[in-house]
Amino acid sequence: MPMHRRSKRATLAVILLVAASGVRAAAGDYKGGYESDDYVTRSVALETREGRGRPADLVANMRKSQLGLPPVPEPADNPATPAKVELGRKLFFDRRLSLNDTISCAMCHVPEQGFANNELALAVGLEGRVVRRNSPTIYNVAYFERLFHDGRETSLEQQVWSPLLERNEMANPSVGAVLQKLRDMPDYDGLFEAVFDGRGPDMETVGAALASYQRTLVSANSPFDRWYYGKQEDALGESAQRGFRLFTGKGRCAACHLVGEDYALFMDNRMHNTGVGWAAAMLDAPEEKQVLIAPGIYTTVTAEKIAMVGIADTGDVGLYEITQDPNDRWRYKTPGLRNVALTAPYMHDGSLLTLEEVVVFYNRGGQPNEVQDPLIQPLDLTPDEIRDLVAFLESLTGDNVEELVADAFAAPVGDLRKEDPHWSH
Amino acid sequence: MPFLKLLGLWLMLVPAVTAAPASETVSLAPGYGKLGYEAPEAGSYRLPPLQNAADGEVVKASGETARLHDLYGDKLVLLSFIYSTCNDVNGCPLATAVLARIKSRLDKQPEVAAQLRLISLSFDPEHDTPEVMRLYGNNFARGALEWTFLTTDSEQTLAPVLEAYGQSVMPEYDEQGEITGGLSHILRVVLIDRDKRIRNIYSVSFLHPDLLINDVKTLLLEEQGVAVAAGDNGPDTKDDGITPTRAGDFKAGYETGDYRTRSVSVVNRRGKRADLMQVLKAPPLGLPPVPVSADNPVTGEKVELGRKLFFDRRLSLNNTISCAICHIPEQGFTSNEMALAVGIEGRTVRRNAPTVYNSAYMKRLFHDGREYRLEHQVWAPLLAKNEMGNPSIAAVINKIRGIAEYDGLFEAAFDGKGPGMETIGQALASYERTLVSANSPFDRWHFGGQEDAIGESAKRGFALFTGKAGCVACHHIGESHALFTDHDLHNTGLGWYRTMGPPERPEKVLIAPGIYLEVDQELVESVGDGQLSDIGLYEVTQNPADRWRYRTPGLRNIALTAPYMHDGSMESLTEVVEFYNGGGFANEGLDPRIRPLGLSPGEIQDLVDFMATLTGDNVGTLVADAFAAPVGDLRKQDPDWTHDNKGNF
Repeated sequence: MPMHRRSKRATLAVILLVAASGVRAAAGDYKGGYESDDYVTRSVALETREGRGRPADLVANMRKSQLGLPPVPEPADNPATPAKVELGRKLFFDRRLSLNDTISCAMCHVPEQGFANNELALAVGLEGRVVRRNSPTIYNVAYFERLFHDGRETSLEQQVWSPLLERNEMANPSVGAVLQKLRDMPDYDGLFEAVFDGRGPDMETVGAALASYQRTLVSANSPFDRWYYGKQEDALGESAQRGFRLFTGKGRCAACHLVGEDYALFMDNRMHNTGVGWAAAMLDAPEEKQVLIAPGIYTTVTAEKIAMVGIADTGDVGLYEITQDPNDRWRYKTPGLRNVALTAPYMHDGSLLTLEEVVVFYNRGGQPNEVQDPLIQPLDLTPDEIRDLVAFLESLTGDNVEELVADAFAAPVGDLRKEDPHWSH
Repeated sequence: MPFLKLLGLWLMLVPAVTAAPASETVSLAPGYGKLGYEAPEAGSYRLPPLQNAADGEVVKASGETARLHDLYGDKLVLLSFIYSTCNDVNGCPLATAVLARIKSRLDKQPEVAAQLRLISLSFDPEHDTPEVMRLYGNNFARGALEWTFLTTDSEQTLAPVLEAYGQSVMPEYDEQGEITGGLSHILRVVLIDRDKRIRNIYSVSFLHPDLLINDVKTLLLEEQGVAVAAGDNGPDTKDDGITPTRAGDFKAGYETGDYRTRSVSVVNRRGKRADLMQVLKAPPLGLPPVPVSADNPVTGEKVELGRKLFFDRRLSLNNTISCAICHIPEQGFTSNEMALAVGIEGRTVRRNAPTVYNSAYMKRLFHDGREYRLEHQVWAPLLAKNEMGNPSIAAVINKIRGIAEYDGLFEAAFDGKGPGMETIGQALASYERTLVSANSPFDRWHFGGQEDAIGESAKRGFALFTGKAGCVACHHIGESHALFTDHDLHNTGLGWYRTMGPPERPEKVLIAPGIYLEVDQELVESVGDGQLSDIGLYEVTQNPADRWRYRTPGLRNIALTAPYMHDGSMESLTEVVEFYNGGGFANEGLDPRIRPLGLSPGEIQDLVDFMATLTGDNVGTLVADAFAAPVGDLRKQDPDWTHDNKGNF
């Protein structure tokens, strides 16, 4: 057996071992090694989660002080309670909240995949309908002042209605259809009323419950936090420490991914044009694509063929779509970087597979274009420096990830049941 | 006989253009000459209002400060913009000369002169002091017609006036780039009516005494209520130019070359507020009490706020489209001019805008019945990319929060709650719930026992409606009231035919009155969205048996809500009855109630006559109330949510 084969097997074995030991911070089938023909799937069925779930005190998780994060801003008109968070969690994992009872929130925001989706660059909605953008993570979403990659929403309570109603996401035909379904399903009997002072499911209460669950998914106290804010010298390796100096210095990452004195959200709640969106819109797509269709098996597909079966590129102009200001073309929201090692692929369109690719992209100054943010400049980083930056980014994984994922596994998955009056038939 | 009546008579009798004195044959300027045509007869045409005439602070020749509107007073006004040192022969001197001719002509027509005022405003306040204007004006002081010469105290006071009247002025430069002292401008004279609305704007080509005097007389005749005379192929128009039950430009006769628009601008609307809460206290004859949900009781504040929202164009992504732009009050709260609705930037909607009349009674909303409550329904058009195009709920809420006119309105209507997901829907729903309309001739006959309320043909039509034609099977009529709907959805075959039948191939497209164009189908497809698929209720239920099922509409005010069917594909009620008479379009899911009816042409006419009796008696009141509603347009003081909040991005 050739040497490189053996080493791949060894890696695989390590991964399987890790999976078996209960680490849940990667996709079951995260496709590492898929390009070689001896790849073996690591997918596991939903049922194998049974017994692996462990409910957590989510409200406590949200309210406790975590090194590296400020207190969670809780809206005065929607304070979290355990019952409300539990209802929100139930909704989050309920596949019946889609037109054909197949797609829950959690199917694009997959707990064990960083509450994002490691397996898809662009999200996929009902009946395989393509979504233009990559699923963003829910971790620490409580801190965002703008939601969606284009920042078009400002409140989690309102945000939920967008995926619920989008034709290519959960595709519910109307607000009334969602509310009717919730009223009709016996397992929701009285739940809203108990949480919301007698109010049943309505636009506000559905939003409030889902927002409350999402707000509890706070995750920090990472190795970086313990080193930087906790002054624990050995919490961070040498390479990551050098990476941090590059992050705030030569790499200039901290210009947008802010790091404060007492905490770091690693974002500025603002939108920038790095050139990723411009390139996708303005540069010609390659005539041919190598597509990996099975482990180790590539096939060449022409752009023409793809156009025949797919949905034509719908265009994506970023913030411009919200403001109608030409200067806002291809501006997208700065994501926070906490747990970023768990949330591949990257960028608003999921076009970069690894953190290294992301750093390399910024190192060359992004993709220059007429409205590119002047903050994006060539950085002249060496390969070692790039590695150091990646090492730093990998140190941002919160210490409660497993706890939150285990809690998610303990949540009931809402599937169509016989006792549900299928509202349509 | 009152004076104004006499004046009207006089205006009709006197020849439209008084013979020009010989001296006027001398050319005034190279750009000016005899009219190449005869000025149209006064009163034979309409002058739609173009915009409101702005107010502003000015200085009279006496040196006193005054407001423009006060100086307009209650007369018609011809306003010119000049500067006294102007040496452009086609500029200010020409304007002044034409006004002087009007003045001298009207000396012989004192009845007209008494209704008119000439005003000339300088756009060079630095040079044109009140004293300069006084000396300038002295040349034109004699005669019956008043002529006021004005200036302003500074460029700063002047600028907004010039901007409001669209008068651009730039310093003139010579070849070396030095300021010559001259002012580059475009000649502009404006005709303003007594309601301070601009009715015509004259550039050099149209600045002719014949035209101006006839325009003045036309406005005077309009005030007399003298209808537009020969040449008009439209219906009787009231003096406010609005027929409350029909599109201003309803396109009848559009196929002939001599079609003339009946469109009127929004500023021409004259509204009258109505007590919208009345119907909630006592429903009109023919309708049950208005159903109001317990969690959103209707109050005057909510209705008023909802009405304001309904007419606010700022509630769309680019501040252009209000609810009322597809649900047009004078067009039956729907759109008579479009089969399929059109959203922002001309984006096509798949279906016809349904009427808002009596939507309070509907248990299912939208043609596919996908919504149940008006409170929730409003978010669909607000957020649909091809309707109002708002990108998110936050975009709508933040916009309303940013508009000063809404300050405190939500809080007052909703017990302290500001604009939000629920309150926006609740306000709009409250207004819509008041648009209840019945007590139609049919109601007075059928429920009121008034024998002569409808004609014989309509009575025969009712017998057919409930009998041979079987319409009532879906368009229900109850014991004490009639909603003319079963709140259910049916497959009549029309949707099936649109999807499964042969593709439509328009051969000729009418692009202007009397002008047809052969358009290649490929060309249409290259610019359009192509045919948008539509499977009706199936899209909501995913049940194949529900394909092409659409909601039974109520039939009240049906005569006002053409075109018909979910896709607006039928232009007249006759077409609709003929469609059902033929049994719809046969298809596997056709509702068994749809079958050939064997109606004679006379019976079809009777049915149409019956439907024409379903127009409520308060339509004029509700439309006039809608006209009284403020139309929300983007104003300078509105923080454009999208641009001003840049700091937040």
